[in-house]
Amino acid sequence: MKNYDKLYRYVHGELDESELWEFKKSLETDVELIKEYNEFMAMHQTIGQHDKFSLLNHLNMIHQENKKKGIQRFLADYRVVAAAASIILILAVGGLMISNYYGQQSNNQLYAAYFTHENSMFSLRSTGSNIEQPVIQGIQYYEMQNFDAAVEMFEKAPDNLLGKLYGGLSFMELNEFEKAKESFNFIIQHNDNLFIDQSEWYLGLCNLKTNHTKEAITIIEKIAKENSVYKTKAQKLLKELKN
Amino acid sequence: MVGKRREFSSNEILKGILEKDRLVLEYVYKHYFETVRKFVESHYGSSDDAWDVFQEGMLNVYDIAKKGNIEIKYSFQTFFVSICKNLWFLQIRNKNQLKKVTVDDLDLLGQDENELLANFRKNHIYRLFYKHYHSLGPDCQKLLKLAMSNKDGRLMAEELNLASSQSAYNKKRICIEKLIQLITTDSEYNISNDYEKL
Repeated sequence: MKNYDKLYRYVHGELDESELWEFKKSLETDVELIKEYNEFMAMHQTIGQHDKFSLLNHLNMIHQENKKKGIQRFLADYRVVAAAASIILILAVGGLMISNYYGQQSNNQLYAAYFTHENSMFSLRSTGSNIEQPVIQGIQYYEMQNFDAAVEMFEKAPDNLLGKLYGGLSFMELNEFEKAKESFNFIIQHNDNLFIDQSEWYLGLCNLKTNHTKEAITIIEKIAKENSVYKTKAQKLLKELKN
Repeated sequence: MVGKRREFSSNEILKGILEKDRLVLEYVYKHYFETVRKFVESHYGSSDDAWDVFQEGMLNVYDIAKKGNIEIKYSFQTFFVSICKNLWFLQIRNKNQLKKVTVDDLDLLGQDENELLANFRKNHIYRLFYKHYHSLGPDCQKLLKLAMSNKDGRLMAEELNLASSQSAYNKKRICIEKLIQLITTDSEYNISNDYEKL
């Protein structure tokens, strides 16, 4: 900042009378000085806000603690898995239950890694302007993360495919995976619409989450082979599922 | 403490944020950070971006709570997540990853649009200040902390073993200059300059 010294002295009332007059005159005409003055004043106000500093300190402490807990949980999980693996080796016959448990953990982790909140903007654009009112309202609720209210709205337009898609996604957010599957199957069976790619992908994830691993793999294999927008994700997930 | 985890109403949350109540801050973090993270990650961002947005969201809620007389029409979740979404949309709008965001795309939450954008900008700079403060040397950090608590030059000089209040004053000036330089050359700084150009 070229005029830093002058600005600093101005703010701290240290300019003498002639300097002050000169400074104020320049402040009306000198574009660079005006820009630096605005920046300096913003910084000056920022530094003065001690209360916000302690708010961020608290938040960062909480964030760091949770990150640490996450690592500890991961390590704890790792120890459980290692112990389970040892038991499997020792009790080869009775190891089935333990391996099922391990499978369940992996599916949950994969689901958490691959499921992301779907933005409605792109689907709305592909649908155009002819959308039923309850579906519009449902999508508004969906965007506000009010998934119960969203589902209620989508149910008022039971044949609307966009409503079905976001109904299914809302059910996923509410952990009601069987209902979500019904919605996605409805769209897939309709067979002539814009939402089949999304429905197949999320149906695969629902099967993963509910430990229907075989069904999940079948549908994810299909996506990985086709020219779907989820192709790369599906190939990656498939690799992890088969490892 | 063993027992059922406490739930907080929207007003209790606002009051708790204002008072920096650890229980309330933890509650907000545990209940809403994940939602913000998922949203940002599904819109071209990373987990670190989500954390930045979360902090800025909290700074904005703090300002709103401080102003008082706030009536939240929806749940705190809806209110807070809307703020974070607005913030993220504004931050990514110039990256050609999303259509150009206009003021019509923002949920103004009943606030004046100019005031909302000015607050967003102010708090974006505040987060950058917080970030770069921690990259300053320990003496500068200590000195700025004392300055933020309105300690006079003599006390600052004593705390930092400096010869006089003039030395403390000179050092403070150098530290602030360094800090301003770090903030204004941060690539994220220019984003905030575009907030008012909606």
